[in-house]
Amino acid sequence: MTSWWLKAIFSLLLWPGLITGALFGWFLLWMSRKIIARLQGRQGPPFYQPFFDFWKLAGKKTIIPRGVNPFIFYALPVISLLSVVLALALLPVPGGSAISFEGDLVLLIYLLEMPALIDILAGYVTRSVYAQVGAVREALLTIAYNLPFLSALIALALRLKTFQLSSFASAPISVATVLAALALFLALLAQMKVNPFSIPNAEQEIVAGIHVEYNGLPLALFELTHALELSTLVGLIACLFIGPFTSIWLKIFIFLLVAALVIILLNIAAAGTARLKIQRAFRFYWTWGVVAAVVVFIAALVL
Amino acid sequence: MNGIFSKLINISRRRSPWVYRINAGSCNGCDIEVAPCFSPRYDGEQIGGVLQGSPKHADILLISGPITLRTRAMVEDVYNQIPSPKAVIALGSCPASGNVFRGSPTVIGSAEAVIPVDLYVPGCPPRPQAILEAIQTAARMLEKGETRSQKEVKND
Amino acid sequence: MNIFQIIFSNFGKRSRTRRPEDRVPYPTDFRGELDHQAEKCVLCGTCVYVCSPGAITLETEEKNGFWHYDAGRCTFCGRCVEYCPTDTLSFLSRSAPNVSQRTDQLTTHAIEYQHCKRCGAMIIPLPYETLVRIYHSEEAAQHAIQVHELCERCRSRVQSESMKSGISGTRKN
Repeated sequence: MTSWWLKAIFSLLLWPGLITGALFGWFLLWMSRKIIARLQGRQGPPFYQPFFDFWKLAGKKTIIPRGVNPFIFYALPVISLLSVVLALALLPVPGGSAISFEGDLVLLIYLLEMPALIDILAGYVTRSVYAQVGAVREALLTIAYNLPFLSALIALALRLKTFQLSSFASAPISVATVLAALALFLALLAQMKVNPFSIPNAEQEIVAGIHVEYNGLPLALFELTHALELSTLVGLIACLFIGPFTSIWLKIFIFLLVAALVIILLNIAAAGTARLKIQRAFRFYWTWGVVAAVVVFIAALVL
Repeated sequence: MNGIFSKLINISRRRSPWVYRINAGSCNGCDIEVAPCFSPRYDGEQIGGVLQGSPKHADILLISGPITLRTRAMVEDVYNQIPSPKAVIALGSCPASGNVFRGSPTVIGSAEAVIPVDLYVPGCPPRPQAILEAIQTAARMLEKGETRSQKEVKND
Repeated sequence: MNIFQIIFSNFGKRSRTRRPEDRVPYPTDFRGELDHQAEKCVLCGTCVYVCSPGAITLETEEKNGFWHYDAGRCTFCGRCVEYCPTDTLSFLSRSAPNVSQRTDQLTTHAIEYQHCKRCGAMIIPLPYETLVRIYHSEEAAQHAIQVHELCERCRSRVQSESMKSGISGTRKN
C-alpha cells in the first residue's frame, strides 16, 4: 500500500506530474511564442522566457482589489493548479502513470473542466468589468468547444470499450484515432485561447480578460496552470499515437514528435487568423464541431 | 535555499520586463515610437519585454507627455496599481520638464512632482532603440534593487 | 495576398530583427544631442530668443557669463543651431544618453568675459572665423579685426575718430 502511495506521489510530482509537466509546458509555450514571432518575421523570445516570467511574477507583491475576499482570491488559482496537476498525473505518458484505474477518463475530463470553471469564477470574483466580460465569453466558449472534445474522447472509449486511459495509450493507430486527434485539436484552439478563439482574453478589447485584476503570485499560478493545461492537452493528443510502439525511447520520441506537430499547427492557425466574434466562434463549433463529432463517432463505431 | 530563490527572482526581474504605457497628455509622438519597439524590426520580445494591457501585470511604467491636471489622478492611480518592485521611465522631454507646454495653467509639467521617475529618455520623441535600451537599463535596475520605489521600501 | 503565403515566406526568411546592441545608423542631418562649444560663444542671446520651450537660458555674473541648457526641456527643433551667429551650436549625430537623474540633463558652460582693450569694460569679442564669414574674405575682415576686441562704445568712438580724422585730413594711414 505504501509503495502505491509513493508511486502516486512520484507521478503527481515528477513523472508525468508537476515538475516535468511545468518544464514541458514552459517549453511548449516558448515554442508557441517563438513560432508566432518567426511567422511574423520577428526574432522571438529566448528559450528560458516562460520560466523567468513565472518566477518574476512569483516574486512580486500581490495587490488584492478592494472588496474582494482574499481567501477566494488566493484559493482560486491554487484549486485550478491542483486540478490540472491531478489531471496531468492521470495522463498515460510513455512509461505509464502509477494512478490508473477503470474510469479515470471521466475524472480527467472533469479535472480538465476545472481551469475553465475557475477562470469564470475568477472573472466574477475580481469585480472588474473587463474580467466579467471575459468570464461571460469563457462560459459561452466552454459550451461550444466541449462538443468536439467530449465526443472525441467518448467515441474512442466506445471503440475500446473501456474508460481507462492506459488502454488509450496502448491501442493501435486507426482512422478513428487520427480523426479523434483532429477533433481534439479543434477543441484545443479554444481551450488554449489562441487567436481565432482568443475571445476570453482579447487583449485589444478587454485588456487582459479574466486575469485583469490578478497580479503577483496568484497570476503566476494561473500562468503555471496555463502551461500545465497546455502540456496535458497536447500530451493527451500525443498519447493516442504511442500505442503500437514497444520501445520506451521510441514511444517518447513519437510523443514529442506529435506534441511538436500539434504546437506548430496550433500556432500557424493562431498567426494566420484574426479573432472571431463570440457568435461566429459559437457557430463555428456548433457546425464544424458537430461534423467532427459525427465523423468521429462513425469512424469509431463503423470502421 | 532562501538565497537561491531570491537570486532566481532577481535574475528573472531582469529577464522579463513587462511594460505598461500611459499617455499623460502627450502629442502621441512618443506613443508612436513605443509601437516599433515591439515590431519585427526592434522586437522587444527578444529581451523578454511584453506590452501589457493591465498595469497590474506590469513591471515598468512608460510615461509620455506632460502631466496635465486631468491625467494627474490617473497617473497616480496607475502607479499605485503596479505591484512593487516597479520602475518608471519618462519618455521624451515632456515628463521631464513639460517641454513646450510648460507654463500652461493646465499642465503640471514634471512627472517627478507626481511619481518617482527612475529613468529619463531624452529626445522629442526618443528613438525606438533608445526606449528599448531604457527598458533594459530599468530591468537591470530592478534586478539590483536600485529603482526609487525599491529604495523607498528599504528605507521605511 | 493570402495571409498564409505571407507568414510562410516570413518563416523561410531570416528575421528582420536587430539586436538591441546593433544600432541603426543615424541619418544625416539627425538632430541628436546639442553640442555647445563654449570658446566660440559670445552670449548674444539669439538662441534664448528663438528657443520655444525655453530650454536655453543665460545668466551673467561679474566675471563670467553662464549658458544653461536643459536637454529634458528641448524639443530638438534646431532653431538655435540655425540662428546661431557664431556657429557655436551644432547637433551631434547621436542621441543624448538616458539618465536616471534629472540634474544629469542640465548643461552649464561658463564663458569668461574679457576686458575692452581701450576702456576695460566687460566684453566677449567675436571669434575670428565669424568675422571672416561675415565679411566674406580675410582681407575685408582685417579692418574689423582691429576693433573687434573693443567694447561697443569704444568701437563707435574709434570709428568716429577715424572718420573725423579722415575728413579733417589728419589721418595717418
